[in-house]
Amino acid sequence: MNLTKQKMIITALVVSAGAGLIYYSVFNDSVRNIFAQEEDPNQHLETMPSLEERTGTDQEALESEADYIEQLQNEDRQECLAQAGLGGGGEVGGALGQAAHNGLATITQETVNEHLPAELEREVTERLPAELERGIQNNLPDQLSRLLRLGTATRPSFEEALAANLNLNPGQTIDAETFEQIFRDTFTTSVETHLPNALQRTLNQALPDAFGRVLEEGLPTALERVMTENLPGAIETDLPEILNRDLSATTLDFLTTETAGLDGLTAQVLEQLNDDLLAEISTQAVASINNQNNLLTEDFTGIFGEQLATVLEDNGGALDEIVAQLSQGLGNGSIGGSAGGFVNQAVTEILGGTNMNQLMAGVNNQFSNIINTTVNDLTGSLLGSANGLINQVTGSVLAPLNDVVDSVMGTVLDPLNEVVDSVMGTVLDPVTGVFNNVLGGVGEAFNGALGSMTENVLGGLNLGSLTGPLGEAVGGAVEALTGGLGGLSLPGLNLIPGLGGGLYVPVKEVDGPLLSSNQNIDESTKSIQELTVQMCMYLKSIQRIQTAAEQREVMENPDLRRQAASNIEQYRHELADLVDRGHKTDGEGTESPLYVTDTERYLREVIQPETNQVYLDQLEGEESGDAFKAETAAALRRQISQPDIPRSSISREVYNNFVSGNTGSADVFQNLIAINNPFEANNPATSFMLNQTALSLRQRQAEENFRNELVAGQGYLPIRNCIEPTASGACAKWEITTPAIQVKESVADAFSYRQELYTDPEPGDLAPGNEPTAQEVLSFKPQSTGGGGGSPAAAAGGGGAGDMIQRILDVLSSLRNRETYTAPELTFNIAKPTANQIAAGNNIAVLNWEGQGIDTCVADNNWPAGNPTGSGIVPIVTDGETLDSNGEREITLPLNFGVNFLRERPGDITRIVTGTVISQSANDGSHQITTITMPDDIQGNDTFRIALGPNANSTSAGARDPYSVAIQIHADGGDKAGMVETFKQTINNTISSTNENTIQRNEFNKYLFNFRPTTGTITIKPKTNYQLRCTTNNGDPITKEITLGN
Amino acid sequence: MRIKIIIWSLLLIVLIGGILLWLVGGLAEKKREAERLDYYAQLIKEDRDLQSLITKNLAAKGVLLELSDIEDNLNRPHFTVADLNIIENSNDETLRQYGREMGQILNRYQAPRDNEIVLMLEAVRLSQPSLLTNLVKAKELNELVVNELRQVAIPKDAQVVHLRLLNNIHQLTINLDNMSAIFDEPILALESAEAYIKNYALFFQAVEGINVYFTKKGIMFNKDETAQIYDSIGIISDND
Repeated sequence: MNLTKQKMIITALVVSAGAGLIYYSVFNDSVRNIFAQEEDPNQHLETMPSLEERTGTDQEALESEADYIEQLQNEDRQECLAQAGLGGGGEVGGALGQAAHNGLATITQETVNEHLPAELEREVTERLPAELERGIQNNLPDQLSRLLRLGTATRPSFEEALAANLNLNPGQTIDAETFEQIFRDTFTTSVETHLPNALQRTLNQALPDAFGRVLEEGLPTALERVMTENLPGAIETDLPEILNRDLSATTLDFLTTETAGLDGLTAQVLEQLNDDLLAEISTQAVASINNQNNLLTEDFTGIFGEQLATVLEDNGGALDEIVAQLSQGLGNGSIGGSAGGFVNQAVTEILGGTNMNQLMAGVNNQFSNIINTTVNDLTGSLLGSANGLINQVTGSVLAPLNDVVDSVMGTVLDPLNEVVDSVMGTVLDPVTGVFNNVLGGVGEAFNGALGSMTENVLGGLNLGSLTGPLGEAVGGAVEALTGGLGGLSLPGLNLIPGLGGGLYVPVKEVDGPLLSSNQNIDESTKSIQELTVQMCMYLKSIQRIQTAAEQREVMENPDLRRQAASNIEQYRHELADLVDRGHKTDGEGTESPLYVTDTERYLREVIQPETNQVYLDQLEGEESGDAFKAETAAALRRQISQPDIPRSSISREVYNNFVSGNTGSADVFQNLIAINNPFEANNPATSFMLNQTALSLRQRQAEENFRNELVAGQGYLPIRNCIEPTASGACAKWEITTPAIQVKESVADAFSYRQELYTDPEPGDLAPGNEPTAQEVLSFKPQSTGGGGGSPAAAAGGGGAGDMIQRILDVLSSLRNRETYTAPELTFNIAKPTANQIAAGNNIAVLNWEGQGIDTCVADNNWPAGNPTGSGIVPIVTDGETLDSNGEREITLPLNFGVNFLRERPGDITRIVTGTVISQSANDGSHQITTITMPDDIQGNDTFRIALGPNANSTSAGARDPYSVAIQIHADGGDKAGMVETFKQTINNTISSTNENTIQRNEFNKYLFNFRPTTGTITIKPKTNYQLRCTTNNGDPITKEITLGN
Repeated sequence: MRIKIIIWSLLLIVLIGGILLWLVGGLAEKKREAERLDYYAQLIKEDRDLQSLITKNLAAKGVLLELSDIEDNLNRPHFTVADLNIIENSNDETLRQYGREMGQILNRYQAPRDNEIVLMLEAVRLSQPSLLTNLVKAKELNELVVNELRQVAIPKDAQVVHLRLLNNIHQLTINLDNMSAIFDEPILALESAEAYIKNYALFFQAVEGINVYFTKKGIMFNKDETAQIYDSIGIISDND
């Protein structure tokens, strides 16, 4: 290698290396970033721990976990942003404005979805033929001309035609008439051959174009018609319902806040006030929106149009694009159904139509005129150029074709409408699909209308006689609901979005004669919206963790699954019991199965007697105006109870005397007429006939209703309550609480449970006695051997040979006695009081248990019953008490109890917190929850005492009252948190004591304690579970438990 | 020969430079990776802390309390007119006296204090219950104000606006109490914090109600008799 070569190589290497470095420096972010960083880049080098070291587990798994958490948090964030109103939404005033905005958007979308396809089809049907005809006129002559010219290669040449027709030799002349005929025939054949093809090609091209143009022009018109003709009615119908649904809780919330402390306002009054206020607001809102000057003017439609265009553009689905997609789809057959798509169907229909003959005849007629003129000018030597002549004349021949098309195309295109009708649904799917995606944003178009709506609602609101403090309070609620005079007219009034489902609360800077506000100007603090989102995300995480923990616990703990299985078995038994006797047949609550065992018998024994009895009760009632009701009712009763064959009530002899005038009567003629009026019950006969007719009608209606109900319930009957009993205990009006179909589905679920359990079993599921059995279908009763397969040991396969032998002996024994053997069953239910019963002061729950094949039963814990005076939880049944195998107990609610929190200093006993009811269970008012707060003033020699039980509220004697039970601790310099901790330890030690005879243990065990050291509080609520333990005739235990309230 | 040395030197320099740049680039990569791992570790730690908090409470209590468990719209603890000290006959002087006392009481809110929502969220994020101390202080401040508002002599026609303010602050106190129990009842605390924001907004409405009352009565106050109320969570400035 010489030097020059070496230099070249080295230079090349250097240049390459330099270029590489430059490339690396310029394009590698890492290097670029180095120069941008101020801190020491080496700081992480030495000490960078892996994720594994950071968290102590496998790095790949952890990265995957972190990714998963991040993904969940992103999803949560999106949902929380949407909930906080930060994902969009208009700046309309108040919860009312927001609800109206959302409601209008929903109504608009639903209305458009419902009506747009029909309106669009109407537009297409009206516009498409004209558009298509225009397209055909533009294209058909060219297409036909082109095909005719091309056709010279494929059809017989003119010379060949002459030769074939006349046997002429070359150079021989022919007369003009012959030439004309041959020319005409040849040309006509060509046209007839090619016109359908030309038309097909024209349609293939013109139809999608025409359709696109029709959509482009027709869509806005169709949309506007939907908006102006369909939307107002939909708003009037649907908006009040939506406002009521969305605003009820918020309005009640505002009303409750505003009226807090006003005397005489019960929950019922507030709810009534809430209903009335919402009804008034809805009326005003609908009136405001439907005002012609407000919504349906050009202002609105203009705004709507702008919004629509914006929305379409924003969504990347501009009308042009939709049309282009449609045209393309129509062209390639992907839109428009089967059989080659819309265009192919349309072309086939058009070309196959009888009117094509008209078109053909018209075209040929035009040819004749032209050919006549042309042939006259020809000489005998034109034979050689005849083909060229065809080409020459084609243009002029076809020029008048448009006139032909004009005259016949309307009828030729008739089949098009049928095709449009048949495929319009699928053709329009993409159009309405696009609207589904974009109409949500179209709701913004209502903002203008909504701004004034809020003002109109406030202006038109009629609060009637609501004056004084209540009027002010309601006014305050309305103001809060509307965001404060619409949130628009008061300067400085702002809105906070995102407080739970679009709630807006007006907040303004305070600056008055007495009070003013100074703001937190710390720029580093997060905004309310950010904090709201952050809290929302925490809540979602907690809910997820809670759900996962519960699922994991159930999945991983066979005992829990057995417990769940046992509970499901109990449910199945309860459901079967309910199905056996859940249908009430009269106003006195007589029960029968929730399915019909014999339709005719049910009609005869339940439906018709009920109908008869209701009718007779009403006929005999005070409101009946029938003067002969007593006789008629008696007659109807006789008829009902007797065979259908009529009987005479007078003898033939009596009748004969009457008709022969041997009666001697001198009654007034008018009375005779009135008595014989067939339409009034003025004599026993018409009374009976009229009532009989009415009763028959009712019977038929009742029967028809019953049969319909039976078909709808697929053989099952609904659970219903009588809301209008008659005097005799029949029921004139029923209220269905659970539809029959729901009963049917619940039963189906319950009876398929075991099969599903075994199809995909989890740990603990597969156990003797859990297996599916056809016996359940046969007897329509759950088999009592289920529910986790007896003891956990047996379920886990334990028990050994002894158990197995015992089981075999049991089976043999049951086989020997199977004719009389009844499987042991135990049901344990609670009937909770209804809201009405509670309101009426009858707040009593009833525990009921029934056993079959049960030997003995005992209470497995203290069964608490409340004492309305609040002096303590007194068990109505004590732990271990023997009970009958069937029985019931009444539980007086709520479970109130006395609690005393005392501080004792030398010479002074102070009651710090009495047993004040802080709150009751929100749902059923079943029990009391009391919170004790540790005092601030704690001295070293203080003694604190929590006393429970009868007389616990007595201040002086309470501490040492023999009937109250106390746990006391000494302060010993502790603070509030320390006191709570000490109480926690002491009470937990007491409760878990092994000495069953201590009064403290037994009394404190009646309650659940929640200790919060951070807040220095202790929450106390009673245990509300009732446990029943029975022993079957075979010696097997069955336990049931019911929990009352939360 | 000299040319060879120069060329080899150049080659060496280029090579060393490349290696150096490569190493430096690698460091940046590692830094970014470290930051990513820090973020992931933090993410996992916070999630595990939260899981630990929830599972611990679930194990102890079986179920976590929610706001709806202890209150609903119709069953909120509240004061009534019977709890107020109402003056049947009032004149300008009694109105002015009422205003002065209200100014003194509400001036307790003048001093800047921490954002209660942020305090709670930071406490749970950092697993530091000690941060809740200021939350408890805020609750105690509200309790003090509630007690004083119950004792002040109120003109009869101011009872509605006064009661609204009193019940609002009482509700804020309950919210703060629940928020301070974030480590015991996290769901209740977070839901109470959401309610706190709403009630805080209503608090300023109620305060404005007091102003409107005095404006209608045509009563003005000296500068030293008025009160300023500090908006700790930025509910006003947040909406400008």
